Parts: sequence; C-alpha cells; structure tokens
Amino acid sequence: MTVMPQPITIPETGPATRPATRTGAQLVVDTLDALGVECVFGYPGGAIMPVYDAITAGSTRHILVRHEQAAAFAADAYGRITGRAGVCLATSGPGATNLITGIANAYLDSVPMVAITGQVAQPFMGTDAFQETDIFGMTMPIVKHSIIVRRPEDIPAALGEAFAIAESGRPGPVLVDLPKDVQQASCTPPGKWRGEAQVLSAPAPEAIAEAERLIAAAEKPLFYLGGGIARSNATEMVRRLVEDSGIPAVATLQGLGVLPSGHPAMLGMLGMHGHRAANMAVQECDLLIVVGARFDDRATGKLAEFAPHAAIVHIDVDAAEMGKLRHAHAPVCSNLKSSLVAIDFEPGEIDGWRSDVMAARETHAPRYDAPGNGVYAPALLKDLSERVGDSFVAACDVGQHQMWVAQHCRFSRPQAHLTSGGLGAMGFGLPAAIGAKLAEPDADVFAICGDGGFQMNIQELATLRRYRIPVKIVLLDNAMLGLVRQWQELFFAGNYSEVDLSDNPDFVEVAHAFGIEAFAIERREEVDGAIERLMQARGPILAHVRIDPEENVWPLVPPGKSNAEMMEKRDEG
Amino acid sequence: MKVEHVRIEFRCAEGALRRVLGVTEARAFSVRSMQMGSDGDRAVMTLALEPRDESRKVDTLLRQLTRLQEVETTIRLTNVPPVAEVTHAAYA
Repeated sequence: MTVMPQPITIPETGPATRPATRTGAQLVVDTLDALGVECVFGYPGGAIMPVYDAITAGSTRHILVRHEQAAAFAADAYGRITGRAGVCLATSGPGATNLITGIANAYLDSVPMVAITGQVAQPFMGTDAFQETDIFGMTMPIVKHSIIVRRPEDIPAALGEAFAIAESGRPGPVLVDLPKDVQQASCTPPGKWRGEAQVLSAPAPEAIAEAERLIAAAEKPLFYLGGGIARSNATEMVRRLVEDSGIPAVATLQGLGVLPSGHPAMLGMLGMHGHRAANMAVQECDLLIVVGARFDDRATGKLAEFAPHAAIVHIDVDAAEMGKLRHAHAPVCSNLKSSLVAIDFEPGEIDGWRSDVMAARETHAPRYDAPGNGVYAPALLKDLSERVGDSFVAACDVGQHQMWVAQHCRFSRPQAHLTSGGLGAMGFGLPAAIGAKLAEPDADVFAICGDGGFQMNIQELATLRRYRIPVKIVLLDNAMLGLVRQWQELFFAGNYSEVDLSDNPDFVEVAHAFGIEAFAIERREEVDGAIERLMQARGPILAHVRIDPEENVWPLVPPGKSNAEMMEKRDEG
Repeated sequence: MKVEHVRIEFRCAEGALRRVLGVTEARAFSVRSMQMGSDGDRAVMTLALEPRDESRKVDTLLRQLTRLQEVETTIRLTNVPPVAEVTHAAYA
C-alpha cells in the first residue's frame, strides 16, 4: 500500500534560541507565529485574557470583530480562500457558544478552521463556575477534532496537531480549549513538536479499474463536481480532465467556479434551484462521475429518483461518504488529486450526448428581460460579476439572493464564491467578506446580502470601519424574509407568517452612522451607475438596492420531489 | 429492527468515549447494550446497536466512527458476543 504523507507543521526550536520559561499564553502566540498564522479573528474576555495579553508581542495580526459568530465566519472564509486553517479566538462561556454557528458552518462545508477558546481554570471546571460551559462537549458533533490542553508545555503540540488535522484529509474545524490556569502557568518550552497530517491510502486498484471500465462503456457520462475539489486544490486538474475527456459537467453549490461560468462543458448548478439543463442531464445520464461531492439533499432532490439510469463513480477523500446515500459502483477513495491522476477518463463516442445537453443549456438559458422598471436582482448580479471580472469574489448570506448569486454570477474559480451551503447560516455574508478581503487583498470582495441576513451581523460594519477594509456591500432589500415568503406562497397556501420586514431601518443611515459610505437605488436605470460607483470605491461602501418583495427564485424543485419536477415562473399561481 | 454488534478499539484520549457514543447516536443508531474494557491507554468496546430505520447501514456508521482521531479499528461482528441485555422495568 502506498501512502502519501502530507507534512504540514514541523517547526523546531533549538535550545540556543529558546527562552528559559514561557507562559502557556506566550506559547500560544509563539506557536501561532511559528505556524505562519498571519491573521486571527477574535473577541477578548475573562478566560482568554492571558492570551490577549501575550498576543500584543506576537507577529500575528488580530482582527477585533464585534461578535464572536463573526469571528468564526471570517475565519471560515479565510480558510476557504487560503486553504490554511482560519483561526478564531474567544473567551469561555458565551464567547465560546457564540462561535458555535460558525464552527458548524465550517464542519458542514469541510472548511479548515482552528477555534481557540478560553476556559475557566481547571479547579473550577465542572463546578458551574462563572462563564463556564462545556464547549468541548457542546461542539463534539460539529468538529473534526477537539482538544482540552491540560498543561502549558502541551500547547505547541496541541496547536500543531489542531492545524494538521484541520487542513489535511477532508478539512474541518478543530477546537482547542485552554483553561485559564494553563494559559497562566509557566514551563520550559518544549524543544520539538510536529503536527502529524492524515495519511491516506492510495485508491484501490480494483476501484480504479472499474471506474475506467464504466467510463469507457458509458454513452451518456456526466461529471458531478463538488466543493471537495476546491478544498483539495484540484481545480486545475479537474478542468483539464473535463476538457480532455469532453465529458459535460454539472456542479453543486460549493462546486461552482471549478469550471468557469460559461465554460463550454458546464451545464450549471444542479439541484433545488439548479439549471434545468443540469438537472435534465443528471436525470438522463448513464454514468455520474461524482468528484468531491456528497449527494446533499439540496442537490439530489428525492434521492430514490435521482439519476435513475446512472452508474456511479464516486471519487472522494472521505471513505464515510462512499455509499452513505447512493451506492457507488466504483468507490475511489483517497486524496482527490491522487485518485484523479490514477484514472483514465477516456469515454467512447459521446458527441451526440454532448450536443444534446449543450443544446438544452441554450434552450433553457436564463432570461433577464423581466418586466417593469424596478431592479431585477439576477440581472444586477450577472452584470456586476461580469464587469468586475476575474477578481470578483462574492460572500453571500442565505436566501433568495444566495440562489440568485449561484445562478447568475460569473465565477472564475471556486474560491470566488463563498456561501454557507451545508448549514445555510444567515449572517455569513458580511463577516465572510471581511475574512475574504484579508485573505486576498487584491480581490474585489463583495458581500451580497439580504435584508434579513445582513441584520444578523450588521455590527460588523464597525469592523469594516475600524480597519478600513474595502468590502463592497450589495444589500438586496425586499423587506421580507424572501425565501421563506416564497415557500409560504407556494407550499403553505399563501399564509404569510412572520416574514414581513417592512419596518427595516434606513440602511443608508445605518451605514453612515458606522462611518461607511452608502447610497440607495430602486430603479433599473440606476443599476449601471451603482455598479460603477461600487467598482470605483476605494473604501468600504454599501449599496442599498430595493427590489420587488414578490420576486421568486426560479426554477424550483419542490421539497421531496424529484429534480425532474422543476417548477418554472410560468407555474407561479 | 435487526440489532447489529460492533467492536471498536480506540485510544483513551479525553472525550473519546463521548465522541464514539455521540457519533453512534447522532447517526441514528440506538445503543442497546455496551461492554468496555481499558488499560488506560487503549479501550475496547462492544456495542449492540439498533438502527432507527432500515435505511441506516452499520458499515457506513463504522466508516464514520473511523473518522474520529482516536478510533483505531472498527469491526462488524457476525458472531454475536455475550453482551448483557438490560431487562426493561416494564417487564421486570
């Protein structure tokens, strides 16, 4: 069996350069420096104060957010873009529990993250002490791993292990809980430590052979591209495979950008709000080559009727995904790049199939000629992303605008599309945009927000202002919880329950109160100028865009239905 | 629902037992009985598990358990071990 070591962290400190003693808190900072951590998002409090005392002497930049959830979301986005674990830092109790949504977000989207929490001193643990929560236990279902550090001399190894686990194999969040007495205690720094990365077996030869047999025999093969491709840094390899093989492709929400929008083989996103051509191709294909995806229910619709004629080649880093929801005829499990290199993607004659699905893509291309003079959000988003070009990065909240971004924006790479897919966490957009801009300063980072989600982390306007982070916010305001309203219209007989947000604040005034440039538009003729103003802005800026409260996201696969049963705008009412 | 028997070997790191049982229950298996021994470094556990519905596959659960950092081996037992069954109070 061949193994593929992935060395991650092996800093060594020689005795000559090592100080005689260091506190645990100083070792935290030393270790973050040694690991090359450039940026930490956090919020101080009682049980993490020793680390905050030490961090002023380190080289790691600390970004003070205004709510710990935003620290976790920003770290998440930082991790998605860099491939290195994003780091968030919080105190015990409420500080730690406020991280939980962000940790869950990273877990469900397989994002590398290290969350460091203060904890009450060990003698107080288990006594219901002030600001004590069992964050180690509370986060167990949503972390890849977690560690309580019991001795200061264990801190470097624990952090090294945390980063190695977070970043290798299938990435995910790791929690490191630091009791206050461990931060305060002094010790002789350990001389050597290393983080052991996960070692993955090579893909099974019999699975490779079966995959190649299925690909060669297929008449209607289709790639199903997922978020694991970006996490494995395999985008370029997949692009070459698609182009060399001629096999058309669909992508999940997290897989958008693996093939640039408009790529000749790209049929679009599949699933609940997917492109009709993409869903039709999945239903008709005889072989589905699933790369870095997990048959999420929002992608598959009614699982029993998903891709009913297809054999499955499933290529993934995580053995636990093999056969979890759909039997894989060829389960190819290993490091994604190793698996892709090992397989010959040589289909037979598929020109007819390719022509058919490409014709369907043209036939069902989205239209942007909506009636009326109001701003049509899909058209605005398409124009914005095309005019900004390859430097465009979008961080979304969750809801209708999130689906419009996925359907209509042009993405040059998967890291350009930051979206809360598995968890579907409103409030992700603004803090994620902050993390993205710090991870990639040359990118043009846009927070595309709904009025509901924006107000869940609106306080981060203060973070933008404090650090002058030039994030551009496009706030699509329909004065509604739009996607809930849409479902109530379509599936709850129009019984609109608690979706009205017509008493929203004046968002331009709110932005001004935080010291951020802002303007509002509501007519279609204003869109060009608004995009230009956003592109020219040198600092943070907010565009408040009023849109039709009754606009819906189309197409739509009703919950529990097959992807073959897509509703279109014409079915409305 | 058919009861499955599995054997899990894991390192005795802090939280490992909670993690193993947590994943098992979160992935829709009820623990009907459990036996465990440990020498302080390693633990061996035998579980009798009942899936909450027929779609749940014990092989998938074992792969999910294997993702845990502390878990070293998992085995689906075909020869049912003498695991203690607790009689429900209603039948006592």
